[in-house]
Amino acid sequence: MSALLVKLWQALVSGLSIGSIYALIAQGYYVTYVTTGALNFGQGEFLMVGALFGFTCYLTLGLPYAVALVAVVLLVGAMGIGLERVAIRPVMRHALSLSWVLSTVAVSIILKNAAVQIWGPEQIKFPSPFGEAVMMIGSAGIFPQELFIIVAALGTVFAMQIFLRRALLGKALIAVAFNRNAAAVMGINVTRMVVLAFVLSSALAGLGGILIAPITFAWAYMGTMPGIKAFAAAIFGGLENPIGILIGGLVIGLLEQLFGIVNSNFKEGVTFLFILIVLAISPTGLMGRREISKV
Amino acid sequence: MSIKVPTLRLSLGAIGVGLSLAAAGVGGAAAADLKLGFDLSLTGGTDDYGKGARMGAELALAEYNEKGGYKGQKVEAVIYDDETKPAKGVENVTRLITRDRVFAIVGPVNSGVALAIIDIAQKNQIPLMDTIATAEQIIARYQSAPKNFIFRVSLNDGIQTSFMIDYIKAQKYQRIGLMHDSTGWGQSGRDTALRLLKEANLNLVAGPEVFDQNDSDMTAQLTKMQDAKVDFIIAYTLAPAAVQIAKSMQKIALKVPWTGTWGLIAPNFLKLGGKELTEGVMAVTSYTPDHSANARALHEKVDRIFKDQGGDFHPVATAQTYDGVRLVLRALDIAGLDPQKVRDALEQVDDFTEAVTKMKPHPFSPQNHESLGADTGFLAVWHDGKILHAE
Repeated sequence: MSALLVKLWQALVSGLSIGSIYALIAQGYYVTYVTTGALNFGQGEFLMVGALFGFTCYLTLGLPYAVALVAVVLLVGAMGIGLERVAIRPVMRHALSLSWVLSTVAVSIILKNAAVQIWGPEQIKFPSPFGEAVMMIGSAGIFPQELFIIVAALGTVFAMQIFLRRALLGKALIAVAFNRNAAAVMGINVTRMVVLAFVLSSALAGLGGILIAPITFAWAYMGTMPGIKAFAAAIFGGLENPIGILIGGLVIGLLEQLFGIVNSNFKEGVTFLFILIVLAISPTGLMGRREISKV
Repeated sequence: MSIKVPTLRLSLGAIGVGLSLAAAGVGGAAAADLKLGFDLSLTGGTDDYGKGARMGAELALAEYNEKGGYKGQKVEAVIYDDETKPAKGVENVTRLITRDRVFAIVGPVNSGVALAIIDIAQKNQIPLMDTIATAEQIIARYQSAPKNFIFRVSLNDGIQTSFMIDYIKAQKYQRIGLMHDSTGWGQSGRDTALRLLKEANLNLVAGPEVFDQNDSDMTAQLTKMQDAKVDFIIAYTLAPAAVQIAKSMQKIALKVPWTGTWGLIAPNFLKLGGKELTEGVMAVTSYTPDHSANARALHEKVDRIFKDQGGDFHPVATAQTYDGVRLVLRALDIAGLDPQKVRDALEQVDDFTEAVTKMKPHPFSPQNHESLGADTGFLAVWHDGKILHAE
């Protein structure tokens, strides 16, 4: 019995680390969805750029990790401005347009191709600034970088919540999300808020990239799976509820590890089956707003 | 003493057309020029293998030419880069045969490229010596043709598992664990391992456990190995996932010997994992720098001559190509400058005692074009960033 507990504890620790990355990226889906109704399906590739640009800053240029981290957040955040300009604004003229699905996927493919040209197609080792020695939390082993991921990712998620609820700019963003026309009447520059939403979303993905690179390697094709899993976390948690999304990300990370203990052949399949069941019971996700229709 | 290689060049554009025409006149219409063609991946996904192979090729040719070459004439190398792309390989090999009129071709590196180019060599009746690529089909495809023009000095995929089993039996390991990635390659590896383990009456106590080749945490799979008290693990994995396996083993403090296929002897594994993580990990090989006197001599030479290119950084690619090129040159000495006769002569060479790999003195025969078959592979182990013979 205790052997099982040891395994469960290890799965919990491992799952929390990867799950907090999903949660971080998924917050990016939330912030653009509530302001524009659109998502960046290239979040995974923005994460990839964050990892590889971080590699260039930290290892090629030899900047301190903290500086590289800020540089990544600024660069990938700035890419959000470009994304909004070329892939969102031109195609969002009609309220029901779904062209943003294709245009954001197009940007992600372009980014992937460009990354192969710049950094090559192979995995690159990204040494952790915190060393490679295993730490023990009880019976479970964890790398210092994984611990840092949990702290940094969850810290960022909470910091963003405080920003959105307390800061003037954040409140303006939420106002646009709540009612775009009313916000405009109140003198809020809606276009600027939409750009801000994409900047935030992209910056979160970039941060996720430089955080996770020491665990997964940095390479051009690294973003696809985290992008999809984070999307699953966002839908699973409830696309309009940041706390739900946070829980969704952590749960998906945990479930993969837990099902892995039972049978590694089905670990991803069973995780997504579980998501399907939850969505069948609660279509707007774990903590999404219930759709109420009067008959 | 340093060996200079002035006659070698990386021909990317202008080839000496005038020279080709002159030499063609001497040899007669059917004969080829005194040129050995190479199609290697010098850029792209498998460039480490290509660069290592080029060292072995340059060294073998330089030594041959220094001893007088072919009837006093130097053999020229024409080396093209296929960028690890099958289409580029096809273009290169076509050019080697039609424009450069080479008498034989050495290469390629990548199995995908190989399966695209062997048809051209076979059709044009030019012998092709594969010194790296491992797909079984490369030799098997023309095995039943009247004359197979394709030869190999590399371990094929199918035979690698048997060397693992030999090692397990010799070391008397009792409790085996099996892991594989979820690709088609990983699954076929699993099937081979399951069959051979059963034939050898070995106990599979954990697995087969599967993982995605991009997974970053393998603790779930490995704790099961730990619970089952395995004493040896076989893993079908490429280098990146192998590093993750080693890392996860550290996490759960699982210390058992384990082996992968020959993909783990590539320098990429060391680059991604570093000395500490790769320490003790094993891989299938035909060569280590320390497995024989011939091997030690080659390793010393490569380290010295190619110091500025990283020394002996991919020992197995270099060694196999060194053997492959020397076999082709032996066949040239026997048969003369006629591609078809060179092919026949390759099957006749029966005193190749200078091999640096574990191949036998009579490596090829009309029935067998795999120089590295049973009893010629073994396990290598990473120690302090170098690969050594696993005792």
